[in-house]
Amino acid sequence: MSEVIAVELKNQLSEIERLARIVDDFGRRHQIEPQIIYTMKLALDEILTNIISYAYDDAKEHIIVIRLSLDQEKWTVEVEDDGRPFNPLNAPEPDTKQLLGERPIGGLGIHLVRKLIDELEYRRQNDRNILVMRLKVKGA
Amino acid sequence: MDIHEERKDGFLVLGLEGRLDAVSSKMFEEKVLALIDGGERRIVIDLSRLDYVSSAGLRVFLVASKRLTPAGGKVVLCSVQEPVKQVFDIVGFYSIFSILNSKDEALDSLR
Repeated sequence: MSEVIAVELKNQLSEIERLARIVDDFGRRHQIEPQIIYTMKLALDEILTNIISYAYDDAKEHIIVIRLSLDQEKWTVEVEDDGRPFNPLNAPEPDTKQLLGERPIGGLGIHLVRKLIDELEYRRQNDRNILVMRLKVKGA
Repeated sequence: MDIHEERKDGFLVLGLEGRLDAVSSKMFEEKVLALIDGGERRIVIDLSRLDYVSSAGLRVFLVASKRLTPAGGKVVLCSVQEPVKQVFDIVGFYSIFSILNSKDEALDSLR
């Protein structure tokens, strides 16, 4: 069974929870394991929070496009935005061994995405950031 | 997300219920910092009913702890459930926070 859906989000943090419900529905419809659905929702949350909070130099409305698709082995989710170029694959790794006092407060979101997602790809295309995240699924 | 506030044996216990994400963490941060500014020094955060946390939420635990430690205070976390536990593991929270199995253990650790 294959299904591709596209969702358009506004650059508002409240949109993330709306997307989470769509991702839940998609995952359940395709019998994806709850743990995998959770992981995808969290990764999307981190990426979108970053985009909405830091990607735009103006206060205008922007549209972020999310595409979800599934094949035999992988669940693929693409995030496309028209914000400033940002490649999460190149972001510096936080030192998670550091003690509290010396530990910087930011940088954990992208770290989580890199740890949680099986395959991560980034490209800049037509002045847009396109991030592709893939998770392995069992016999979808 | 809901925040349940209770006082037990003189210590403040904040119970988080629902999703701690970029939206709800703003409210949570304001609440915790107001409590610290009001003089709270030992805070237990009960996560037994927290089913989702993103880095925006993790940040609030770090901010609270960084604010309290120099003042001789402490934040103790307890009763972490599975999806949240995995996130704590990845970011190394077990090495920087006191994280106990139950609220009672958390309270005992502050005595």
